[in-house]
Amino acid sequence: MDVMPASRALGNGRAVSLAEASGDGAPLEHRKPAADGLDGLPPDASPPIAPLDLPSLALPSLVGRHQAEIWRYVRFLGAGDAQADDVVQDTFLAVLKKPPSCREPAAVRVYLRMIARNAFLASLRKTNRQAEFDLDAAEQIWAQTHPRDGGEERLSALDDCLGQLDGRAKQAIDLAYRENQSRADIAAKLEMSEDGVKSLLRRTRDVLRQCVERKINAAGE
Amino acid sequence: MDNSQREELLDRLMHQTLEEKLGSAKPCDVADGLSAAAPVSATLLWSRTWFRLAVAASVMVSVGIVAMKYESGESKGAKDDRRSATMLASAEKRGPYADDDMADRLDGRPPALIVASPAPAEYDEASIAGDQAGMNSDPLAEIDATISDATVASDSSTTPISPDSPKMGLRDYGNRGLGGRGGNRGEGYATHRDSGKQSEAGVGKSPPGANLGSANKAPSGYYYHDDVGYNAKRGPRDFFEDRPVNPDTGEGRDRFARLTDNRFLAATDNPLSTFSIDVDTASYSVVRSRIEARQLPPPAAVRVEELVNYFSYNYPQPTDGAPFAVHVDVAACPWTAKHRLVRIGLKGKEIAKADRPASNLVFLVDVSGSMQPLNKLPLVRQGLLRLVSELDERDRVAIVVYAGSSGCVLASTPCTQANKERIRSAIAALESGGSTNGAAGIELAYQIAQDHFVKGGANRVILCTDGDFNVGTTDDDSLKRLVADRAKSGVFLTALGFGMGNHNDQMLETIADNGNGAYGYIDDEREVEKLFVRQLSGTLITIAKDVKIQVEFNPALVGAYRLIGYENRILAKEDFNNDKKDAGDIGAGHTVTALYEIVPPSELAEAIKANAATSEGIRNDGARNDGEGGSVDALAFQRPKQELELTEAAKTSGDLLLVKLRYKAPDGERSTLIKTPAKDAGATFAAASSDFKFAASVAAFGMILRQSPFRGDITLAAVEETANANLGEDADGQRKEFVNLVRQLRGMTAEGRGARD
Repeated sequence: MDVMPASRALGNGRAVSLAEASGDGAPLEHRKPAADGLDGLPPDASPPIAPLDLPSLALPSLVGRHQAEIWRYVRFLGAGDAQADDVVQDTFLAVLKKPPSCREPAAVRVYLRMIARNAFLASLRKTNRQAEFDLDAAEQIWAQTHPRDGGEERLSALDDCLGQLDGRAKQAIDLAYRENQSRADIAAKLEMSEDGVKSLLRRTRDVLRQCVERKINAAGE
Repeated sequence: MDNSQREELLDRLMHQTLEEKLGSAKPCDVADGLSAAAPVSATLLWSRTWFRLAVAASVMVSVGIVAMKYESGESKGAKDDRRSATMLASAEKRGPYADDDMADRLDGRPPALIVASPAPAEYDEASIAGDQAGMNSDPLAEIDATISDATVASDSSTTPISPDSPKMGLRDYGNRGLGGRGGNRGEGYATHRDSGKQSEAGVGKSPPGANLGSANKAPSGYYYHDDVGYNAKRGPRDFFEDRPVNPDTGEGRDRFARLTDNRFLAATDNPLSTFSIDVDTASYSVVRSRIEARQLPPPAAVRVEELVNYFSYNYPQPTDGAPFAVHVDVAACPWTAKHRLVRIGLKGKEIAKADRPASNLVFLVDVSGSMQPLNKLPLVRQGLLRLVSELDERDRVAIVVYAGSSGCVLASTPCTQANKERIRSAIAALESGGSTNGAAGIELAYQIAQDHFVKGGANRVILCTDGDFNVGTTDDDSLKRLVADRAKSGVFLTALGFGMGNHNDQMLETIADNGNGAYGYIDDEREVEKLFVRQLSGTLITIAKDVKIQVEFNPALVGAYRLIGYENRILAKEDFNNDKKDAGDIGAGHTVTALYEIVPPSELAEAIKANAATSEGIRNDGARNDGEGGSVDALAFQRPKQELELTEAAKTSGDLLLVKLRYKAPDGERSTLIKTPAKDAGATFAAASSDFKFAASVAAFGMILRQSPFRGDITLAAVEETANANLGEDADGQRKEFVNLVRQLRGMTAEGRGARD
């Protein structure tokens, strides 16, 4: 059973493979970091010599280890799913050109987030948009809530916390996130008002957040 | 960072963590592509660059040569094109109503006057505020520019709109960002994929953030999908859906086939009326979406039978083992009191969800660039996710996408609980971009469906598109042949239309008809619920195919008759007994209603006089009513026909008509005949059943929208009153919604304003 993004199956969409972006396939100007360059990075150099300081063997490891965090991070910054995919690719393309100077994991994470943030901003500029909230504040929250990894710890902690939910809170979360139901549908099923559902979900997320934070803090002590 | 900002960000983070943990949001994997990118050597990059430069230079030289040829000797065809464009331009200057009777539509006043009515209270302030922020003109004042009554309603490629025109850019998706209709989550945060796409298409017309409205915006700047500018009842307004706006994008080119209302036929010379059933409901959704967007639907988009068939009627189920039962009622005609109205109702056998056979479904999803707006691909994703949640381990699902080329993004997968997550992920990953080679996708989808054919099951391709096929096999006839050919193998096709602005209604109806399937138009979440949840069995399970109706009228009791609607379903009388002739199919639980207006013999002379005055004379010269009517000279070589000789049955049975119906089993080749005679007991309209009266009011509404010459003296007020008094059980609220729609239309017309004044 194969599941792959639509655009890859087509081979002509925006999120085509990086092989294409790197020159194996059709030219994709939008994927290049830059006519205008990503913030903090030099614009496209000419001639296009790829400064592959990063040993190619280490690259898959770097991508495999950090791509999920970068994807989550750029979504947190405000990117939609498709935009997040693009930004992740742009981020690692930029890393190909300017690899991190140190290999300490925490520093690499910070470096990658900086690149990703710049790639995200470049992506916004192309569509004449601006970030919808303070990205410095977002970075601060991210760093606080992801002290050791890119989100796997939170997901694992959330698993335990979800098991502690019951009653209408559990129902509401299941309907909203597992079943993808609209607020109106949830309200009808739980015999509540839509505002009530909104409040219930907000409160439940708050409870889950506190539970997750407790578990992460406990694991770090 | 203040505390509220911190709380918002932390909540956002938890929301996204939950989406990833429980929903379909999953991190992408770019490792393969990046690995491929890494080993590229500098030398290789140089050589590729030179190669590309060489190709680009060749292309530029070729283009230059072609341009020089064009300049030096313009072809006749090009000149003709230019002349046509000039003619269109002059037509534009004369105004959108200069060429037809549009100035008389609905209330006899030019719609330019109609639009002076104030915005109704239903629209929330955020929507209006956002509209004002995003544009300088009153959206209602633009309604006149949206009405188009043509086969190709408004081809923006030839519409001379200056880039500086204030109309350019009114189709600014930035403004549509008011609501984020397509967000596929009711609670939480609008997907930024949606808002991003809107702004992209908005070409920066609105200042950043202007499209977010203000009243309900979440403090942090991201917003709840159903908070901002989102009309809780219907979603955001979409004022400019089919407006010819941007010749570059091709936006504003909805296509509807022109239909001419069926005319009265004399029962003596045309005793047989033959047509194929139609279970499509797309026209109602189109009409609804237009009216709720404060636009008058193009008459060509109004197919009366689809309006009537959108609603369920309480016809008794078949009891004799047949797949459906036939019911006939007669009462006075509400719009022409001296005429009679006949209702023929079919009720398909209902099949409970638990009893439905296994399904082998292939979702064929158009992911071309035109599918980007919120009411297209995002709504497709939502619909398919909803459908998948209704399926179980008996069923299989595959997903094929098509744009410039086609591809399978999900192989046929059993819909077990364990696999549902993967299916949902594949649906959630659907993205738009590129041109539309629909035919290649259809081929692939049918192939997959046939590879996993379930004998006795529902084998179906579900096409989700705006119908804009612009690459590959694009003409209606080729696609028609393709789907008709595949339907013979037992794989049927359901066509679901999404969005406006590029919607090819004609294409979708054609391929659905030929693919032994139905055509629905999905304009919002409620339509998703209707088609994929409440009517799932009907959508997936065909209980009979090639269903044809032939009505024989008794000339002793019927002077003339007119079939209301079904204009593009009329068959020649010989087709009824021809099993090779394709016709409509009926799904489990579907109801089909056909209405005939009958002129009693005693009223025939007056009706002929009245209809002559409207140039819609009663025809008596053939079964097909596609001529122009008028008198005919006496024949030089033949004597006039002998006087009509009635049978004993005509004189003594008292039957008004005989309904004959033919159908085939879904896998059958020979048809079965059902005959149902009907009498007229002389019932008044008031004495008719609630369902009868509601169906009549919907038909009248359709005739008013079509500006039908046969609409008699019916008014929107009467339609509203009749419909409102006959809501019946209305468990799903559809009839109430219809009444609101009529009310809303009245609010847009002089008739409505007159009533208020």
